[in-house]
Amino acid sequence: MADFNLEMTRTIPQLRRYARALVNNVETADDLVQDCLERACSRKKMWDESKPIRPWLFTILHNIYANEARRFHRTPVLVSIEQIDEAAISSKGIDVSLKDLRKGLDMLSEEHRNILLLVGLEQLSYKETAEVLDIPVGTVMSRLTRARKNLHGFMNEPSISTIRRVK
Amino acid sequence: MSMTNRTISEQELHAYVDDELDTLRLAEIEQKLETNLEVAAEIEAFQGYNDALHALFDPVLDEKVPERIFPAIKPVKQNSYWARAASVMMAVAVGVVMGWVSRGELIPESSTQLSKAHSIVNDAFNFHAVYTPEVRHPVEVGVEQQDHLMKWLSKRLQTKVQAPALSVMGYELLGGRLLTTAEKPAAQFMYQNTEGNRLTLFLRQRIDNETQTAFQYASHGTQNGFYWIDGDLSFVLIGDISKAEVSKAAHYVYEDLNR
Repeated sequence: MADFNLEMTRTIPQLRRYARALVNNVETADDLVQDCLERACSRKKMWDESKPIRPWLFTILHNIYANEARRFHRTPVLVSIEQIDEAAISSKGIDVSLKDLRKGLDMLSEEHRNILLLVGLEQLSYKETAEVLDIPVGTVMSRLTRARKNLHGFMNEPSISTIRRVK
Repeated sequence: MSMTNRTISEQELHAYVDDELDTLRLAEIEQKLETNLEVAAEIEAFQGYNDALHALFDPVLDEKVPERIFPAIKPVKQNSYWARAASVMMAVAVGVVMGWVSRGELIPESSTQLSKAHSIVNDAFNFHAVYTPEVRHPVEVGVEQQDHLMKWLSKRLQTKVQAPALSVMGYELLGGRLLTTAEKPAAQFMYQNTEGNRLTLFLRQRIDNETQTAFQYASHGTQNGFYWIDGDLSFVLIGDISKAEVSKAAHYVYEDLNR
């Protein structure tokens, strides 16, 4: 029998990573994770032990996030400019500035950001992502396609630094 | 048209990046990529974004998970001081306190209360960290002007404020200062024992959303703290001492202020 507490504890770092990327603020992100774990504990019996716990926990977290959007809204984070400017990663010859990536994420719509983070960062399968977001797999694919395209557009926009988020 | 000649659809391109293709189609696409440099570049860009997301957020995985995240999993050990404090407060918070003590778990009634609670708790920890290492100016007004300090803080906090005695634990009042929180002005009292260890008691007027009256535990690094509400005030007591010791001190503060 899988140990609920153990499985859940093992997932905490990933839940924190996703929450951090989602709300952009350490405290708010941890509030979100804390609420998620509390709800998970109170619904322990609803976890199907034959399935991995990760998508189940992500579903709970996502629902709290979606239902309490005002409380967990994305907040600007203060990071020293020098620190960010230096940070860029070079992947297969393509330079991605982390500063631009942050801005790109900011500019994405909520649903595009969610999907990009679940698939791209948390590496959930399309099927798992569909369960978390409660949408068909086909929608996951089309939404993901659009999300990456938009991000690509934002990241390659030369005047990125002057664009303000309109949301 | 045979499968092999099928062009790569946009969704397949993403499925390739996300490792969602079945083996057969994967092989076909990999073959096509050798000649279709444009699509190959696009795939590389998308993979680059995934790598960048990891570069940006993976450091979170290595962080120490803050203890406050665990309340529902980690049983909080009951101790006699806490039990006594709880019994004093039962009239106010029967359900909550009873539940907490008997189950050994700290489960807040609702998340809104908790998030409000967090802001004062965070403020208290921050101010504790800022002022306790101060050698020359640990307080704004010293204990030698205690009457003036209490009058001044009571006026600014708009409620009667008094510094409880903690001498029973070997801590003497050094004085206090006026501070602020997002909602209301706040006060910090500082205490010190003969070894130079310092405790701070942070308080401000209770706000409407704070209704959780039970003691709640929080920690940050080596600092342990307790948060609770009593009457129209909210309190956070913090010290670089064991949880049991802080709990004991919180109990004395509570008792002294209700004498």
